[in-house]
Amino acid sequence: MRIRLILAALLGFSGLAPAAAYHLDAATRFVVAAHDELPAPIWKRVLEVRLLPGNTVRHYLVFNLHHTFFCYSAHDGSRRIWPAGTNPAALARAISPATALTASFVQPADLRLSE
Amino acid sequence: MKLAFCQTRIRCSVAAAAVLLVASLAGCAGLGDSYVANDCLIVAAKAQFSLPPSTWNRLLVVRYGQSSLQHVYLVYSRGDGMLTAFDSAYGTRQIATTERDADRLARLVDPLARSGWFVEDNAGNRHLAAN
Repeated sequence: MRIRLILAALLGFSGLAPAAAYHLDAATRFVVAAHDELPAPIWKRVLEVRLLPGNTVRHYLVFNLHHTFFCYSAHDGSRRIWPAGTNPAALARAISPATALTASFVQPADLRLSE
Repeated sequence: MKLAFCQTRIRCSVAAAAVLLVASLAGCAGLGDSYVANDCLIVAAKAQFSLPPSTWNRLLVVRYGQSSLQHVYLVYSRGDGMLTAFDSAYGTRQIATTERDADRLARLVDPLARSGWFVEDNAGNRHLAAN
């Protein structure tokens, strides 16, 4: 155990230790990367959708280009959506046909730190 | 709602799979964050913001037949009769044209395309991206 701790500390100091983001699933990492890629003036949000029952969590990047809304996921790429509003629930309804869900905006930095 | 930029799924999914593989290997090796969103729309939108404001430019979504397959190009011109088409799959190409109609431009930029629309010009046209 002690050796593991020492090894982890050494790796951490050397920069070779996996970053916190690596504990996120690949799909979420791509959403976070896409959020970072889009220039700051573009309206963009990371949307966390929880499907009920089961509480399955999915993350999407929602952004507005020239008054047109798009959502991005690692599986589907970007696709155009027509939300009824810019609140999380309206955006989630435009993205997913599932009726039983909850949605909220999350900060990419919080996703990186939460794991 | 099958209106996705499905070309993204075809062209970029192969690249995304490769990136995922490399990234997972890098993750196993602890080489740090190496994820890049190579989605065609995001790449084109990012490039658009790097252009000078005086440059005529549009995000051109091209469609292939009746399917929902789509792909996105950034097209721009500095007024010299040359049009530059940039996309995540092929990079930058120069085309000698002054064409500005989205449909005709789509066929010029991408020989496989049947039609096209500009993101900037079609915010209200729901039917264009449907099906």
